[in-house]
Amino acid sequence: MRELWRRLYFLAHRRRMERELAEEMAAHREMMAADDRAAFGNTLRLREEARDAWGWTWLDQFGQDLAYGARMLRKSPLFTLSAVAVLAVGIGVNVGAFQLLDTLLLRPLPVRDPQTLYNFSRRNYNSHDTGVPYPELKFMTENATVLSAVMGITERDLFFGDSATERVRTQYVTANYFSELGAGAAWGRVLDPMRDETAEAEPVVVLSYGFWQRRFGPDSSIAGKMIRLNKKPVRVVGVASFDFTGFEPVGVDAWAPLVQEPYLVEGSKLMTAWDTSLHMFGRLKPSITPRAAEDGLRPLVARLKEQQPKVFWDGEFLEAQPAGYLASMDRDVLPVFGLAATLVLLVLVVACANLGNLQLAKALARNHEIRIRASVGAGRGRLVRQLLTESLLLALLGSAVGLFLAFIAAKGVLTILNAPQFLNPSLDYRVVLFVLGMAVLATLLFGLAPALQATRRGKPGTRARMVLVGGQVAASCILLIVSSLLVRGIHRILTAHPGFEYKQALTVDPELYGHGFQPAEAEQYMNELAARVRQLRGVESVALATIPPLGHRISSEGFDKYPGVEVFRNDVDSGFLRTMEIPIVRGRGLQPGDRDVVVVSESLARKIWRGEDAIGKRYPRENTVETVVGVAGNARLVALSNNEATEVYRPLATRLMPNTVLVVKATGAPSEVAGEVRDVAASMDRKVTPAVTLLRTSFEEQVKNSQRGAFVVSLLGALALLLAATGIYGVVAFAVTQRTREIGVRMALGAQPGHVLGLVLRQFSRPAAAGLVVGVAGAAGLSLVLRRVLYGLSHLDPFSYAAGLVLFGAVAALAALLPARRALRVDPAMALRYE
Amino acid sequence: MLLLRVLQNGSLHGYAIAQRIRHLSSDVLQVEEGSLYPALQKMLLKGWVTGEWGTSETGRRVRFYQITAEGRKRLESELSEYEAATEAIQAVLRMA
Repeated sequence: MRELWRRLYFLAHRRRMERELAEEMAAHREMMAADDRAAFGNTLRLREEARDAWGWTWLDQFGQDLAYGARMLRKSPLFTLSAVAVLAVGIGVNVGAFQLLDTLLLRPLPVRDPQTLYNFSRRNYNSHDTGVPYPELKFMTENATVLSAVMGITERDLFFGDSATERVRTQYVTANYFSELGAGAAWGRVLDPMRDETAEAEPVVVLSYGFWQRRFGPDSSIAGKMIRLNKKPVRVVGVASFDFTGFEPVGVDAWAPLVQEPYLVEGSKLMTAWDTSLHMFGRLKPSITPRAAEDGLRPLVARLKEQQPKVFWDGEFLEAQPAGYLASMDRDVLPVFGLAATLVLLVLVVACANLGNLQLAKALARNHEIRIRASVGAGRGRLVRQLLTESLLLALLGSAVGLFLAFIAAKGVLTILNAPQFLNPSLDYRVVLFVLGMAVLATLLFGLAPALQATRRGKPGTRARMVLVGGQVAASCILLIVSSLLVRGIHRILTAHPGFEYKQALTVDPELYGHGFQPAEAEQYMNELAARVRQLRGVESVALATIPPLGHRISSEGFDKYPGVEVFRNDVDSGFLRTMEIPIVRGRGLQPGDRDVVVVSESLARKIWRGEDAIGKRYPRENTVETVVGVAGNARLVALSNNEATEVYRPLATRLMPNTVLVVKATGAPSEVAGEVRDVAASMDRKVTPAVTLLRTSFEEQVKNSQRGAFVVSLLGALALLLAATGIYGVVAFAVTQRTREIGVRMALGAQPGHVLGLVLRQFSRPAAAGLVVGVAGAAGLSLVLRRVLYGLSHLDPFSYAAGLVLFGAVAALAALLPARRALRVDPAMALRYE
Repeated sequence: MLLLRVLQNGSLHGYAIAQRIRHLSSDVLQVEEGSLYPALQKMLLKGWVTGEWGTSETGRRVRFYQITAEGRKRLESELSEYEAATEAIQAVLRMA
């Protein structure tokens, strides 16, 4: 360590050190007898040796190489410009992707001490539930010694305005939510545990900055005013500051104290019942690890289980997971991340292969210079180092431009995604390190092969060039095939019939369960609602279901005997399949009064009974005896993008009535009946504020993300294609120039144009073919991963492969033929005089 | 090792070091005297010796080198290693 300091000291004072050394040696020589001075040795060489001892020679050489490289780049500005542009694209794409990852995953939420915030969910050896009942949350608040604060959040849409039609996404939070996260108000005040936590407290609400801006414009006097939510008067006490995100930065319109939930949602048992659920967040006390927190809470859960044995599972505990980040790196995200990383790296590969060929051509042109250097004593290692330094200089320039491009791109993507304001891509040390790493990686990718090839003794071969061409072809093929797979997959989702009618349908969710309806009450309400809506003009048919199509609710079941089969379950009335236009393929549909029967989808029948007829078979669920009476067409009611989804329909039991929604099919546009349907539902019970959703809207929302993904990947594909095309153009043009003389001779001797073209292009056929094979194989491998992310994808869709290859082939042929044609215009006489 | 050994008896400048080595070895060890300096630079860097500018007997400005504690330690270990090696060689010579 001390030696390193001395070394640095020597570096810092090297001028003085050298002067001293010279002076010292001169003194020595003076003192020697005049005739004996030859015994001292070569002063210059010895001084150099002494400098070597300081260990900074490489730095000197690096400096020289850098200066020389800069001179070379300045001397050929066109080459430098195009190289920097190519690299900027290749590196920029990677940096942009990393910047997105950095902002989305690695940066904590802008709240106080995000590192100590954890989410707690119920878990035992085989079950997991993210919802914690309020009584448990309260118990933990009072008794947990490992947590300094406990926060509870639950969410429900409220309806704003006199007619209660405008949806307001509201989170009910414990009143410590804002103070614990260190948030202030833009106007008025935020929630206050002292004033807002009691049951007698006045009903209040805090608006999000976005909602305030959208709904109340510049009116900052909103604080203190009364508004109506679910037709109930509520006082707006303030607007949260614009950069407040809470745990969920997007889309929350308002926050209300948890204690006001029963007031706003009349009849709610959220605060008392054990079967309710909230998200529980806690702040760990200093020096408590998440594991220690879990252990500390374990005995408390056990105590609750003694009081409520039915509510809690065996061996249940509260699992702690980091909550201070927007998204966490879990198993679901990893394949997506890996896929994205591979795709952007492929763009870099194409860019580097392209540039590698340029470098190679340049190095060959400098063959003369390199030979001279070698003959005056430069070792091969030294020459390679010098060429690599030049490449590094290029890479650094490209990275700088790439960083700039990436910044713009990341900003653009975040704007498209409508990301919250705190997600601002910025330069932090991680991004800088990443950019430098990319520059080095790129240098090795595009600089090493040409440097090695150029410094090899003997006749310069073409192997490096061929490898680079092959690499470009392979990488661009992968990108093109994968993007065409994606585009086709998305297109299929968009155009293929999902198996049910969504354009004409809407759902009405009165949320009876939330209002504390008992099953009999709920049944009466729902049946009356169905009867009255059916009478409306413009309504074709109605039905009841527990899971609204394309909603956010999912219920699924599996079987011990058939692991891996996940069935989406829906309990529906006899009119559901008809209303949704899901055909009965075999057997019959559900009928009024049915019990212990099920209708399964074709996909499920095929998975479980293979070739056999499913009708009359026992449904393989444990603990129940249910008979299959019908097979229905496949309908992707809840998992739109999963074309292997399986469904089961059960007759609707009274006990589930509080959880049902009404499905309505209109004869015309559903938006025309939506208002009337809402009025009917609202008029039947004063408490209820029904949520009306058009299935068409849900459908479009669900495919939007897939569309965006396909768009980005296609963009990468297009970039790769462009880079590969320019690369191929350059390589062929170079080959033509190199062989001008030979071509001229052949033409003079009467060679046919086709023959000459073949001569120029033949040498590329093998690397191109190898690249195509590798590309197709790589695309097949990647699409296997892709399939896990996007169900709708058929990874062996021959059309997509063909489309990718044909597109690449056409562009590559064009890029090769344009310069190759020049070979045909070679004037034999000129060519022979060329040298 | 020789340099450190010579410096053990007090600080010397470069020319004196060369003289001393030559005298002590009765002119047997004659190397390029200049190669002393790369070696001295290495030892400065390692921290085995320190240099200080002063005036020589002849009135010339020269750098005096002085052995450090670290240098002494180094010398000791080198000497014992050397002794072990020579002993082993001599043992072989005697026995063979």
